[in-house]
Amino acid sequence: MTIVNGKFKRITNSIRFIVILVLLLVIALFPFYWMLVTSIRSDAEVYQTKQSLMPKTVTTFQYKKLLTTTNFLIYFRNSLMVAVSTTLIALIIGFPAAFTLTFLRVRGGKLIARFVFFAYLVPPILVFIPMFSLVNSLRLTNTLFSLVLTYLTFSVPFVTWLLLSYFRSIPTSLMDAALIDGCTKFATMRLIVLPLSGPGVATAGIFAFTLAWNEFLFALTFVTSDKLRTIPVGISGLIMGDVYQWGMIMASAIMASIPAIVFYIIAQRFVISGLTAGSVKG
Amino acid sequence: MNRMIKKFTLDNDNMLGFLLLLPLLVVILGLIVYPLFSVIWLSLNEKTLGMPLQFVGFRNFFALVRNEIFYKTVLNTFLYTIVGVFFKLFYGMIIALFLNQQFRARNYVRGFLLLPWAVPAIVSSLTWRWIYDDMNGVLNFILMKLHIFDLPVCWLANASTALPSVMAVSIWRHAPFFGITLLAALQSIPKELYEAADVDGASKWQKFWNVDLPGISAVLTVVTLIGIIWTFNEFQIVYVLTNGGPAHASEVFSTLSYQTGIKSLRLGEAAAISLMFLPFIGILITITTNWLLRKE
Amino acid sequence: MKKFLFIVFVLLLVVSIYSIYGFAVEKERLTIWTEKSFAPEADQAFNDIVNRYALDNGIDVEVTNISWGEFVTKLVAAIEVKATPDICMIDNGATMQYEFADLLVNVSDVWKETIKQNGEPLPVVQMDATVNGQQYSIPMSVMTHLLFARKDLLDIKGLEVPQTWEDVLSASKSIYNPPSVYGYGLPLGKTKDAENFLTQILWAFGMRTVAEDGKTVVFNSPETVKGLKFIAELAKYAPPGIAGWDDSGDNKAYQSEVVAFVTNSGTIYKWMLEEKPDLVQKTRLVLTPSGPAGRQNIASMRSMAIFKNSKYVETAKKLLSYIMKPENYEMWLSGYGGYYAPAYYGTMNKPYWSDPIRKLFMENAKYGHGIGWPGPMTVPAREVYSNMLITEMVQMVVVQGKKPEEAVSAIAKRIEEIYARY
Repeated sequence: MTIVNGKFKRITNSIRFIVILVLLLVIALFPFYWMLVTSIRSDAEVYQTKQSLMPKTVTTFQYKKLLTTTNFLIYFRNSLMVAVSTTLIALIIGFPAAFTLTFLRVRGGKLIARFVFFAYLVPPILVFIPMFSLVNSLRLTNTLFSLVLTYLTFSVPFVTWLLLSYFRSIPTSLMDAALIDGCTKFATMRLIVLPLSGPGVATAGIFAFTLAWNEFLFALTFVTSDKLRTIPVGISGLIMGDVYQWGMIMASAIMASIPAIVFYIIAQRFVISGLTAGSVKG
Repeated sequence: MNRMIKKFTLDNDNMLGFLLLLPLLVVILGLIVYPLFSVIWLSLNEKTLGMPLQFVGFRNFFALVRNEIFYKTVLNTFLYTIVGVFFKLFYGMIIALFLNQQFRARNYVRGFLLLPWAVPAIVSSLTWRWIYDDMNGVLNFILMKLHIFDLPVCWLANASTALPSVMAVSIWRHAPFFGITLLAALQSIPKELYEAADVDGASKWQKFWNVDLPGISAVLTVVTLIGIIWTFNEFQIVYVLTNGGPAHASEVFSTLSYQTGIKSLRLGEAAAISLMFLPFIGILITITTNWLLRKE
Repeated sequence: MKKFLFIVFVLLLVVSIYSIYGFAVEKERLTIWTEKSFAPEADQAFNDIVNRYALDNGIDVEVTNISWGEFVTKLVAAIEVKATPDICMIDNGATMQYEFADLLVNVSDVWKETIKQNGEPLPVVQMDATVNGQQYSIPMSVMTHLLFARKDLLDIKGLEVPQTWEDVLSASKSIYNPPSVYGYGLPLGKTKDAENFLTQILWAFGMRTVAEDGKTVVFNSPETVKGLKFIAELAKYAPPGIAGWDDSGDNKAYQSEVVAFVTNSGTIYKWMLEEKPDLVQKTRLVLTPSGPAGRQNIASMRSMAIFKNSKYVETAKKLLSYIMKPENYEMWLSGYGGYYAPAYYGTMNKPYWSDPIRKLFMENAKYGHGIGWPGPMTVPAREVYSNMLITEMVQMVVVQGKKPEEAVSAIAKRIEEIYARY
């Protein structure tokens, strides 16, 4: 009896699991399905009056057109450089800062922490003008570095606070144990906090990356040369007047989404789930 | 001897802390203070394109208070933010709990669920525009095939459905952010706590309430605050989908500010619009950070 | 594993440093910002002309094409920060506005040379470029919007191709057959298209924003109310989603064969030639319909101006003169397929423009007026235009259900407020 019950429970659990999984995937992905389908259709089919859900033609035409007639690969490279740089710098600045604000007693620490968050008070819509003024006076107009620098304004507070919140889940007992053992506080950052904050760092990193990758307004304003454009500006350049090059726009959307997903999937493998039982002992 | 040296150098909390915080301070002061005060100063002036500033004090703010479109915008923005963040949290929590389980291809599913966030906002907004289209849109196509509606609904052109439609896209886009961040927080909860709860015979719900929630409370708070601020300032999605229309039915702070500043070229007023709720957000940040930084 | 992570970390660091130094050097060069138009051939022709000049004269030039939607954002920031390009393409009414802020170089000398070679300019174009008798921009083209009519749908109902707006309304009523086909695709979203098309209908009914002196606001008049009522009536036979249309809304509607009429420039025509030739067969193009107060349409213009901040004013002037030489100018203009009409009478007489469709666009341009008509183009006129007040007024009636008289007086008040500031 109990064996049958157990099996029945497992089957209903499986069914429930699959239903939720499918539901989540469908909700997240159905616009993406449309993007993908449009990007593999021929131009004639894209502009047809009656839209159909299944593609009748499958072709790499849009991708070829995107890669050969536009500078998309160059935009891709530019976005990659800016996003990687911003993420790295934000992590390098934010990690020690979050560590300090969580575990150390620094005079004015609370004030500084709050002040960091106040960075978000700046209204993003208009701030691009004074920011541009700053960039211009630093003679950084039309450079990728202007983007790396200005992206720090939203990525550093974000990374700092996110890491700070993750650090709070690290039990202080661990830190105290290490100090008793003779570790310097600086060493605890490297030996205890860093390994245990895997999920936090991966998450903060991937989101700093996507914020920089998808940023549009600064990239539009500070950079003019076509060879220095980033992807979001490049994509909106595929809109010519009132003519939308849907096929190429969708192809570029697909290609633009790949790096973030790939990095995240890979990063997941290096993330240790939860505190390993061994570290708390003793 | 060793002990003494340690005390003077890296072991001194203040010194170490200061060194580690220095880069942060440089970034903040250099890149944030100037633009912030610039915009504040701008709001106290009348400025049209290319012309010099003319100090007018709080006149721009007073003019806004008398503007009926502004009230509609305030209502819309608050509705958009509160309802939006609520659903983003809810949906995000579901995603996080779900992805915290062990199953094959878990990493890939996690990656795919991140897609709405990873696709550039312009493109997903344009795609959703197409989906919502009354003539060629997929949504109406499906709804009519299922006989839920007889005629296509103008999701984005109807004053009553415009704002909810935009909200739906915003929720769709942001929920993965909440989901993935909360997932990482769940992953940091030590397994022993779950084992202890099992020993006590706790149900799933009790486990959620007593182990999950407290464990992720800090991250949950930060993520909610960030979510509120981002949703409050949301621009691309609203601009591409409805541009605040029709007739200001979906106008939010960012679109009104953009229209006033960049299209009508009244930069002083635009600055005033975007700063109107600065105190409100400031208070929100202060309360949250106080709670997060409290000593246990 | 740890080693792998370390190597990845180092690689990423290298990439970052490269990005910092690799592109940090700014070369001194003449910059030109121009629009990314619907006609890549024209954009290419322009780039070729400029590059040829650069090569022949040993200067360094960079042309950037920017989609019009983002052009404004970028330009506003550039003007505010004083990081403007040397030469810039501007649209109608901008000359006035930028000159008022003392941003533009006086190019009357280039103007004189241009009209000597290309013929006299259209009056509307002259008005756009001139401030106090001096020219501050060099006009390139005039774009107006013809009426596209579905002859096949009209034939079924035994109707003639409409010549007046009243004809358009009665034809729309007759053809209206939801959900498969609608009458006139009237854009009502907050876009340039809507503002343009609604304004020209109102003009045809006698609406005038200001008197000829350009200062007295006469907006609140019975003609305006009549025109507004007409538009509200016309909107009844349009597709339901018009309040949400962006600039491509009417294009899409006509291209999907859902509406019988639209007003548009050449973009739809060009698209049909390439993608749907049979639709071309079913289409007739007519001049902008006339109303009780005559045939009026709004002329969108493109001009080139030089910013005062430029370090290369003399070179820029010479470059502009070169671009406007008939052989270069005509090559550039023809890249648009004839959908941008020439700004100069001399160009219009060339054989390229004898094609019937192109002739039609040129003919229509003669009925074109600039913003602020019947007064001169002024800064307050431009502000009324960029605030899209006419669209807002129509939305009040069609979307919010307000009474036309109320809407007209509300907007009249807003217009008066704007004019009072100058």
